[in-house]
Amino acid sequence: MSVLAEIDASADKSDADVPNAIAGVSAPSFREIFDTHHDYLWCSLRRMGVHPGDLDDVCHEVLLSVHHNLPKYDPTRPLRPWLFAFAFHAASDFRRLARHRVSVGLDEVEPIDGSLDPEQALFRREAGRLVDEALQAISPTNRGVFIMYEIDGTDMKDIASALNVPLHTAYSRLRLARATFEAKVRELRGETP
Amino acid sequence: MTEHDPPEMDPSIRALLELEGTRGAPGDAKARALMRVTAAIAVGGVTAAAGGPTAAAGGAGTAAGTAGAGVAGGVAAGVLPSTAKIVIALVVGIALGSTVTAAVVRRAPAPSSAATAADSPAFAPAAVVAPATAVVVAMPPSAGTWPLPAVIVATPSSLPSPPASSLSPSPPPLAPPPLAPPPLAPPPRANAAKGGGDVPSGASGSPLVVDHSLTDERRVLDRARMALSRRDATAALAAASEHEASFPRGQLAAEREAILVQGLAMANRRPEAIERAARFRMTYPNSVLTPVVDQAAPPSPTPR
Repeated sequence: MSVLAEIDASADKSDADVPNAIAGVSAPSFREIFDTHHDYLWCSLRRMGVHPGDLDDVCHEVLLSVHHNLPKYDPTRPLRPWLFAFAFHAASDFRRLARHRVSVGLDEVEPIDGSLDPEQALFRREAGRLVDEALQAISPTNRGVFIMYEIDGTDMKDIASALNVPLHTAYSRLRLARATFEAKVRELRGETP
Repeated sequence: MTEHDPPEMDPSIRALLELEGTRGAPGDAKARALMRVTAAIAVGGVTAAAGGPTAAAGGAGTAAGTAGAGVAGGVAAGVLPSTAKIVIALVVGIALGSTVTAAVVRRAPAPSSAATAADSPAFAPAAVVAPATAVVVAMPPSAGTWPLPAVIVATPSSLPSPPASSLSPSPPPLAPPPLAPPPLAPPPRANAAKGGGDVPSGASGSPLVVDHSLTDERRVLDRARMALSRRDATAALAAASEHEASFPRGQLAAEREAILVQGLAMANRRPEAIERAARFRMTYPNSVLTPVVDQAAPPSPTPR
């Protein structure tokens, strides 16, 4: 048994009030979440504006929060929006405490896909830069909705629930975010409006 | 499509977003995260699970315990502000048959005490402790090859609250209200420490003892870890080497060795990484850091 599996086994599953104990649906273990969704959390934090040099640390804290709150997870609800909410709040705290920082760009953490030829790799990298920069132009509250809807493909009702906002507010944020994102991409491409 | 759904996006911008969806984390980010989260949860996670003001420490010489000491104090309290109001996670214990050597204890004046030590051969949560206790339990060297963790506990009233978390997580809205702490702690025994083997004096009435060497070790290794996260192998190796020179038999030696293996692999110094990794597996056969080491320098297949 792996260490994390043992930790899962030792978690406080005795509490019958927790949702995943009464829902009759098997909740994922922390190890399963880690294995499957670590990269998702990491990328979500990056998209939400966490400084590249702090991504490991912030992701670590998010994982610990997920572990801590896992007994409260309702397995009848989609997992990713639930996870994203942790990243969303962590990124919000990060921005609040790190707004004085100077960004140093993303090169230091950008993975290089060795299976691509150099031209493809360059294209992907530039596309990634473009998206990163355009995402940062969106206000953080709107950006969370935009990322979940446009990149993660999350249902809008789940987004509203995860971010604890009314549905129409979520749609409103999405529209604003889209307009900002598209305008920024066009600006970065040098296209005239 | 509902009436709320916005109109279709420009196809070229849509394509950008689809490409974005395929981007991932750096290959070694997950391994680093596994190492850290395993150590942190193994030690600090019990505090989280208990939901009460407890503190725990892992056994020195275990990778989980040592790494956890580094992480738990700095992270567990920060991540779990609602529950871990008092978290001083420190490492005391036995490494591969050695004896208990050091401890950092914040003690409570409460007269009653109780403590349990994990008894799993693999690393298990370090301690399950009732509040209002101040006990350290360490298993004797003869207990087995796996170093069992010591337990250090403090009461809420005796300790200052940790600083507010830099990442104080607001629970996701889907989460229900906080649960009452589950009854993880066994009923307090009159003097659990009495039968538990060596009990550092700090547990029985001495003032706070701070192990500065552990703090110093952790500081050096934090630099190494940060360098790894920046993919700066040179800096990581320099910091790990500094730790090796300063603390050759330090409490965080296992963590240092794992970092060295990762750094060497990152620097494309494969033979050295493999050699270090082999030594690591021999020295720390049950370490929770083994998967991290294996990923950086996979073990060669055993000849038949």
